[in-house]
Amino acid sequence: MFVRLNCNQNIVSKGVMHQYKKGDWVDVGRQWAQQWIAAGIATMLDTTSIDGKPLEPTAGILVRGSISHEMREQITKATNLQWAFVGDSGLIGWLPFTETLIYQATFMLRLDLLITGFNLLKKWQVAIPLWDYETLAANVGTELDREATKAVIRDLRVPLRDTRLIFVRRCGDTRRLLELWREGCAPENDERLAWMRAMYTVKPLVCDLPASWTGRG
Amino acid sequence: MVYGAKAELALNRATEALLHTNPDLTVCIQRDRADGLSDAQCSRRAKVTLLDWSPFDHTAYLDADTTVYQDISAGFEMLADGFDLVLTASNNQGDELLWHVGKDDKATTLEAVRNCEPLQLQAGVLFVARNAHTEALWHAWRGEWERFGNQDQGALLRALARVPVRLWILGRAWNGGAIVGHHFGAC
Repeated sequence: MFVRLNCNQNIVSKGVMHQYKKGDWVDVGRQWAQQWIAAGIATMLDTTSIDGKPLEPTAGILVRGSISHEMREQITKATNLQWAFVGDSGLIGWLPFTETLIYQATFMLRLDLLITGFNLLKKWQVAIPLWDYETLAANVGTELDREATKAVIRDLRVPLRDTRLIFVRRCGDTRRLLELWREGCAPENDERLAWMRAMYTVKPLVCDLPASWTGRG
Repeated sequence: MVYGAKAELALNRATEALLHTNPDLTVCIQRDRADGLSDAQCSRRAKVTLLDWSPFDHTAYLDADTTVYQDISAGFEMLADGFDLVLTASNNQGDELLWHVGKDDKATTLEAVRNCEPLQLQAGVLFVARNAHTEALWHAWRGEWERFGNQDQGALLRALARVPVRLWILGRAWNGGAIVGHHFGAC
């Protein structure tokens, strides 16, 4: 479950030390969360305020896996976005911000496009780049994974999306989208195919972007 | 849409190939002209007014310089599944983005979409479902096209920025490949 840190914390996950700052949202086990909340180290998410309206109407970056200290500092210098972190599995079950960038930090984020991406969410529910212009859904995954995908999306001669960079506006459609994506991301499955199945099923308003957004174009 | 001698020549080949591979489809050919427009302008005007003259609820639009090599029914199935518009990305991305539309058209587009690196779409082969969303999109597309009266791709991006619809992007096999060949510039 997600908790918000009230102070800087170093957390060891699978033998690796991760540094988190005050204000970060961190995905931890229920037991840890309860201990931290009891000790005043963290606060649990309030999904509604007293008058029933949603809280935290801000944009933020949800990091899947780890991000280097240098990369985080560089992004922080350029923006005042909030941060949230999910564990090593990197599977997303919840959108912590009204507008969330889901970012897997295996490439350098294009800081010049960051605000553009969030602005696209004023009209679109999702903005995501193509993986490239050559690789098709037919070219990745196991035979079983491809068959399952074809049964949903009809034709595998379609470009994949780069799921390392997803701008998402929080709403019912995108919650369902991420839920389906997570369900489809079994360890033996290609997460890009799972994304295609989820996107085809939910059909949110998606602003497709060129592969240059992740430096692949 | 057929405007000009080259397009007339291409039409027979395109129609024959389409009906050979997709015998159950009904073909509608548009030849209506608007006064004072060139052949190229007439064909683009026909495209941005497609929903005014297409008799179908689900339409596959094909440029006259395309050749259908395979069954295209999956495109219609995608519309039946709930997508509004199904088409491919353009071959022109990055440095080649909107190179063919003219400086003013390109600058206007990038400003309108509030994105200096949008995905350019290729509208020479597309599937569209007739509904309130696409009617609004096509109305916007026509208005945007009329600002410059030339190419249609910048206008499409501007229209989509005003009226987002449920898009599904196909691979190049569908426009310039194994399913639908595209002989760019043949008409």
